Amino acid sequence: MPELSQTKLNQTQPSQTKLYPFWQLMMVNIRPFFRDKAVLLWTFGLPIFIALLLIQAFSGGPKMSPMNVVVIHGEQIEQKWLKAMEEDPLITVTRLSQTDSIVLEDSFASAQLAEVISSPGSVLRKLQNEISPEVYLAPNAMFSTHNSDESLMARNYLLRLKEQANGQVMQSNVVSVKGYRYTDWLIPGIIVLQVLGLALVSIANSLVSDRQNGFFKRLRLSPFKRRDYIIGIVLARLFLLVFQMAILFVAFHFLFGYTLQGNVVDIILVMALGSFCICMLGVLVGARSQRVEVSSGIANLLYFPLMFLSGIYFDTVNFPTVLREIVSLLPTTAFLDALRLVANQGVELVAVSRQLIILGVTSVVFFLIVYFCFDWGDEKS
Amino acid sequence: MTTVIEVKNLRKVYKRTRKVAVDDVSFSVSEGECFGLLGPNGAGKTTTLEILQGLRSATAGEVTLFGLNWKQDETKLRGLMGGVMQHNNLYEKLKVKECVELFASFYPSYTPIDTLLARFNLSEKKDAWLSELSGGQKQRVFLAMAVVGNPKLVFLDEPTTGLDPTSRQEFWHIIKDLKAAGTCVMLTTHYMDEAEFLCDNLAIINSGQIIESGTPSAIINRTFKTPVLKEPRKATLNDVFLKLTGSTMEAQSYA
Repeated sequence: MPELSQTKLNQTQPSQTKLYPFWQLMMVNIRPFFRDKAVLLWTFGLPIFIALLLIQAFSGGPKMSPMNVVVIHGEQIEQKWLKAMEEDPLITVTRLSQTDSIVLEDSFASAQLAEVISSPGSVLRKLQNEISPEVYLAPNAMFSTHNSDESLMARNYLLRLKEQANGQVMQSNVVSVKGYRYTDWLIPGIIVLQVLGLALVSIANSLVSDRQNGFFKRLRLSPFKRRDYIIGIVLARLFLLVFQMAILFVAFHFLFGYTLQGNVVDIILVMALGSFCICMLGVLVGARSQRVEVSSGIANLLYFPLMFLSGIYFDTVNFPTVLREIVSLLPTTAFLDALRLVANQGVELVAVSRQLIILGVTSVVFFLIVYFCFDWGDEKS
Repeated sequence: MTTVIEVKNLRKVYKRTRKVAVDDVSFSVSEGECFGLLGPNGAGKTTTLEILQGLRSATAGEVTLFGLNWKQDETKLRGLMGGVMQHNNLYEKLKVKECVELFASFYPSYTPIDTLLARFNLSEKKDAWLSELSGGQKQRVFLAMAVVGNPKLVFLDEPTTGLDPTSRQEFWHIIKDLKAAGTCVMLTTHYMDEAEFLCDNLAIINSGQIIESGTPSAIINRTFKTPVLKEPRKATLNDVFLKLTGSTMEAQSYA
């Protein structure tokens, strides 16, 4: 018979070191994540791969050619718009005096540019009327053909630049000013998609797995507190998500030149609140499910509509008004809109207060449902 | 001696199947006593245990632990107990020390982790992941998790199932030590040698009813008036196994 240690349990003094249950539960959920290479690879590799794929797929459309924008001295133009145009590498802004502008118009009239534009006057005036009377598009490479698509593209490009300069949500995939490109628009979407994956699907399945393995029953044989478990598991996911997002932002910076335009603290707050809300949704999905097949089914039922309706891949502005209003109340939409505005356009938190309120209220509702309905593996749950 | 568990006329009928799982079961267990609940599969052992653990409610009857009951004193009761389940699983990539720390954090006071691991011969393995442990080592970790908070009552639901004789005997000696420390142990098992070695008193349950109870020797004497063992043997095959392999396995386990 092997010799066991002779230290008797009843001779031992209790430890003086205080351990905090929510912290221990949190660490129990964090540590295995970093010890599993496959999990690490899928968690960080997959979003970068998806981003590469999407950016390749969606930014491969018609390329915008360089264009000249002529600003007539003395006439009014929105300064934000002008600044955005000046920063855009595709646009060369030329400031002309009134006299020069007459010369320019004359050049159209005299058909000096006829070789470039077959009916220069009409193109010029059409653009003048539809964009702004103060901005003139000088014929350059962009208008070197009769292709009306190019004219349309140029007009849309400038109109969108104007919208974006005024703080409206991005719609276009052709703008090349940092913070306004399709890449910039897509990256917060990829981030939210990752949160959906890790928080909603993974957290729900993890809870069901704990239930199936009898971990909850085992916990019930100790004085653990339900509150500590829920807080611990959500904090663990929050830590993992914020850590993951930080890594992804850095990766996206080096891969796609993505830069955060807003205040970092504001961005972290938006990410934390958005992630917390989706974590609570994940806990809710796993709150009563007995099998992974059920929790996966419910999670997928939520995952796909949330992914497509929240504007991760395409903008919701084209939705019918009623649907757009409903969609704006979804936590993922609120999270994504807030993240895009704060991270890409540098707006302050006050400007996204509606989205933050939606996230806060939804989180509290989810928490309360979870607290009272969670199945801890006993008959009374 | 102080009575720790008092069960009177316990009855459990499952609503969905209307099956009578436990029928008029009564027994009591004192401080420092190991009480065994024996019986075939489906006899009602686990249902009885889960009612005692506060995981299920009784259809009828009375259960008091330390003079307290689950309806009024749940929080207090959970602080007085620990347990090893029939199927124990935890994250495979957790270290031994981390698992024990987790359960230590739930209790108001706990045995120093290093001391406990030394007592359970797990010091060398404290930084090993659960996935790297043998079955016997894992069960010792689960037992360490159960007793780290110095509970007064420990439930062991078939704790040595699947373990080799050496690991089982190690486990038994730890249980003996717990008893010596005044801990009350409630055990279910299919191994009669285990029950005989560990239990001060036991009850044999069949179809939800206790058909025999008392000390192991009293039960043997009541059941068999004449000896059933034909001839005295030098040793059992279990003893042979331990003699031939015990030291080797031990050397591997604690290397």
